Amino acid sequence: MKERLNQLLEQARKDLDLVTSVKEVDEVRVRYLGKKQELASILKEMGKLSAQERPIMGQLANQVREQIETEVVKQKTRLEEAELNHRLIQEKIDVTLPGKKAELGKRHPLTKVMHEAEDIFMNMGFSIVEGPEIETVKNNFDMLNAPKNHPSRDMSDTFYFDEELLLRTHTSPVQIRTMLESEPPIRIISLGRCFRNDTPDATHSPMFHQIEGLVVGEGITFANLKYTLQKFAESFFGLDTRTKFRPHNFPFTEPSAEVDISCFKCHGAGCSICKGEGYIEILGAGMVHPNVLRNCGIDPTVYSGFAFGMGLERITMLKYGVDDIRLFYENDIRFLDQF
Amino acid sequence: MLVSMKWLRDFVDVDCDVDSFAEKMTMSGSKVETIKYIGESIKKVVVGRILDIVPHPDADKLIITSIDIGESEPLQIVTGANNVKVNDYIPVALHGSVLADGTKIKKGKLRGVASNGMLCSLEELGIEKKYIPEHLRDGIYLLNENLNTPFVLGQDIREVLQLIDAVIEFEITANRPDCQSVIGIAREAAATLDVPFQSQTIALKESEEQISYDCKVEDEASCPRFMIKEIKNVTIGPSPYAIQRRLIESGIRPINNIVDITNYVMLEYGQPMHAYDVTKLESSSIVVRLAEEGDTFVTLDDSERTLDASMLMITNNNKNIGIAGVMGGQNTEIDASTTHILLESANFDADSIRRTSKTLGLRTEASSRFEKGIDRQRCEKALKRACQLIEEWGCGTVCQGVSDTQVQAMEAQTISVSLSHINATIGIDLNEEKFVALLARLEIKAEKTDHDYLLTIPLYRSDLWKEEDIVEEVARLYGYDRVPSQGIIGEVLSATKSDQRRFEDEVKQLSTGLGFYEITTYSFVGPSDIERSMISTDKQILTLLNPLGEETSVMRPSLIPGMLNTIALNDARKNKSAALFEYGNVFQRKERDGNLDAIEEKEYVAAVYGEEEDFYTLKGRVELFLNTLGITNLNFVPETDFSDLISNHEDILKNEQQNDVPIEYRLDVVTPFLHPGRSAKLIVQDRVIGVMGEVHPNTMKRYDLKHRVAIVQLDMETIYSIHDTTVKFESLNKYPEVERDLAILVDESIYVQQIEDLIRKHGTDLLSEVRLFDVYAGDQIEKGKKSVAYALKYRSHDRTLTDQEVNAVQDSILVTLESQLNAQLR
Repeated sequence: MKERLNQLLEQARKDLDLVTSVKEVDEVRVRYLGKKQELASILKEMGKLSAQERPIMGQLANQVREQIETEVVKQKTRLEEAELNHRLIQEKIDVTLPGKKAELGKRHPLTKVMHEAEDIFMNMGFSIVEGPEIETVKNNFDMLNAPKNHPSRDMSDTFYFDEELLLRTHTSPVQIRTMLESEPPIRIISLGRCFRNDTPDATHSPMFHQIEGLVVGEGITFANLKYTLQKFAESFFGLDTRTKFRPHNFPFTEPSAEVDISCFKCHGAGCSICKGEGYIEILGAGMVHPNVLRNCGIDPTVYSGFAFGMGLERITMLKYGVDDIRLFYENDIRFLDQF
Repeated sequence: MLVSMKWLRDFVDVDCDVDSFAEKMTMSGSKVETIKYIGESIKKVVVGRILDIVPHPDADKLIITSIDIGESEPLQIVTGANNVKVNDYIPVALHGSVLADGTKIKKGKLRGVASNGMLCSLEELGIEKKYIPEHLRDGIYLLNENLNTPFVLGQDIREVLQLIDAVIEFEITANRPDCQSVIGIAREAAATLDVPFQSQTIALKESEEQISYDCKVEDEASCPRFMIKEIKNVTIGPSPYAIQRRLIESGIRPINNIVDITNYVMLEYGQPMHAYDVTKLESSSIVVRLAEEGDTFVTLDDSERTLDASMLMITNNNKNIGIAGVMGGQNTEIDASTTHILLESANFDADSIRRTSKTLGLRTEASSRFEKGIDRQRCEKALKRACQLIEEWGCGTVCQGVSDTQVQAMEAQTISVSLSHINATIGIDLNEEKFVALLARLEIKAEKTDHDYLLTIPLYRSDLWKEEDIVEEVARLYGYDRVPSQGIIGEVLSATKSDQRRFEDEVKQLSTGLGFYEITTYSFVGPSDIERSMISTDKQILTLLNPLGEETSVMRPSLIPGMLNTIALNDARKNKSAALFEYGNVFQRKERDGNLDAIEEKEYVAAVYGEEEDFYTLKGRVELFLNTLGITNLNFVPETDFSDLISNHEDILKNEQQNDVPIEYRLDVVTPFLHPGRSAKLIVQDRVIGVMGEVHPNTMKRYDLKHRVAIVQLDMETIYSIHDTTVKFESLNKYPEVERDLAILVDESIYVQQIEDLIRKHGTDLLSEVRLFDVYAGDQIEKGKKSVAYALKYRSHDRTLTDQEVNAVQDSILVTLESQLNAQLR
């Protein structure tokens, strides 16, 4: 029996040396170790052995089984590895072929910049508010202290539906609505579409977008206005951006200012973007006129405020170097895809 | 407003260079638009005298001149000029010289004869043609015949012709009409530089004679003040050269001494004036009154104007002689033979002038100043100044006395202000002494009262009448750049965005994630755009009163026309495919209490076009889109019932062939811009939230589109109101799912939605998923039928399902399909 066991081990080793696939290894395993196979049939004869021989043979048989199993696992691992390598080689592809098309659209550049500006102002505690595109003469002009004969009220400047209704010429009516509806402290950004009777050309459009800000509270100063716009300019155009406030005149603010930013291309040295000035005008701003506060039921002896407004198209054009405002409304996919 | 630095220096000592002066003025509120340095580019052009002229031996049109430029040797210059003669003094561009336009002059040979320079015309010296009197426009400028100032041989022509100056163009804001004058700007300059303003002292000699004309105003509101002075022994001629230069630099063409004086004083004082030829008057009284409706009047520019009853006129003997504040009349115009004049200096109401100017479409230097508002004491000073110039230039004798309609002199405005309020508004800490000194620069007197200051405002500053006006004056003179930058001190406010805005942001983000590009189209469209797109709308269209053009004349009732235009543009530009969306307002007209009102609603439109796009490529995205937004139970309901039409199609064809009856389909078309067989309503719980489909071939043709366009239009107001993104956690199922396929044959006209609805209805709560995986119609199956195959999943939350349980449900589904849809199991 001992001989038979040793022979079996020899034979199994030989068979395992000849195998070329994982499947054959499994066949070998079954052939030698399977329930109805050789080792099993040898073990069945154990009963015929003497009590003395039985444990010895038992031990031997176990050793043979273990050795065969070890060999099987070894061969199997080797062959599996080989087979995997073979497969990996077979599966080689041309990784330089183009990928399968995945499509992602893009926000309109104006939306993208609007979101960017919104984020900057929201981080400064400004809430985002909106209002209708069709407004009343009252909200668009009267409440904002625009003189009755102000040229901006002319039909040549403003689109009208009748004597009362118009297309808003700025987003300032939203400020009026907000002040009428809420109490100070107020800190809002209003943005959206505005309309002026301008024939379209590279820098004019009958429809455009504005971003306006309004702060009303106790002790709000012109110095606060400077700080807020300086921080915006830094966040939007870059940390080294400087602002320049120049006196100006608007009906709804007093004092009023026009605000330039140092050219982000040449940093003030003068280039084609800033037309050699070193600075670019981007904003109108000022302290809210007491008449406007009063019109909205806010006591100007207790509260003060500042407001500012800028053209979304203008800052977008500056930021990306877009040279024609009409591109924004034409929506050529080659244009939209660039942002 | 163009201001000559030379002129400005008559009133203020500017002790810095022009560039830094300009910067300072900008920073104090008088924005400098441009600076033009007159004569800057002209080099080496001098005064010469022609000593001799001989003909050119080889050219008929050229002459050879010998020119004395004050040096030992005369210069030989060949010229084609034909207006020069011996002893003429002319501008000579020497070898190496540069003309106004940058042309460089070098010596050379003209037809074989050496020429060492060039003789110049005024235009070559940079004076625009429109300012040169006609007889001097062609040819060389002859100094000896035209210039009434001294010059010497060899002198730099820029000095002789006074071409060295800087002209600054200021942007004048609406609140500063006083700055529409050299004196106004000079006052600002003095305040800015903190130097004194040197005012003119005017003393008139006047003759013994008294004024023999008077004036009267019938409409005092429109004309608060009217003044006239009488001038006799007038000699019309050119103005002094220096004056002409100043007029030219200010953009006004010199005409003659009297007209130039009125213009010069207008520029200097900002007070428009007018001169009447007395010999053309019919009575000794000037009356200011409203025009007769429909009257006509010929203005100085030879145009006949039709007047209306709101226009203020200057009249004499019931005849119009001028449109007040706008333009004088031809009938009393100054001409070369004028010897006796009346000078008018008046104040007119800004609104009245603006209206008249606008109605007539006639905007003049005078009207543009009056319509901004001028203080009425200024006309007195200006009138004196004009008379002074007449005496100074010796072009007339000024009669004593003046006719003046003003009853009461203007009183200075006073304003009470608090320094602490001013400091607090600006965010600075100006002390009392500095505050008073700063106001003094603006000629504002500050007088301390108990707590505050009482300020006395100069008459010319009609824009200052409230405390906040003073805040601005202090801030700008203090310097906006010196005001510190300081963060807001106060309550911390949490920034919010409305839910609607967040929803909009999410819609946009989701759309881009699904491959759509956002477009932005105008809120207004043209009626022809609406018509072309074939959209049907029950909305009342809102129309603009004053649109730019037809194509922007109505507010869009839908985003569809804009989308189709955009697709057409992209397609025309060979952009082969695109997925686009727009989210925006659509408008409709409404009457409220008899008044016009507008409704603005949010709409969303998305479209795909291109060779590989169709209804289904869009539908998949729309389903995912709406599902992500929290819209469940979405149904696509066919817009048109085709069942009869399809079965009748062959009959109709036959009928046509046999009986010559034209084919007539009566499609009950709901959405005309969509393909009736490829469009659906989007319905959620009986509410229509939108419509989608492929664009109707007829619409496609109108836009010249070749590939299919699928488009979806969503009512975002409704979607916003019903969307629900509440997340409710469901524990993960531990029990296995059982999957069964179900393949049936049904009539081709059956919509799969009908099948799915029945499956779901009879699937009990064990049915967890219904997935369509195959639809087939063709050779393998009966004609008119289609095979539809579903994978159905069953599961329970509390047990492993037995085959028996699942079979029972599956059987009941099949029985229902067989009985209700006449389905056969495959």
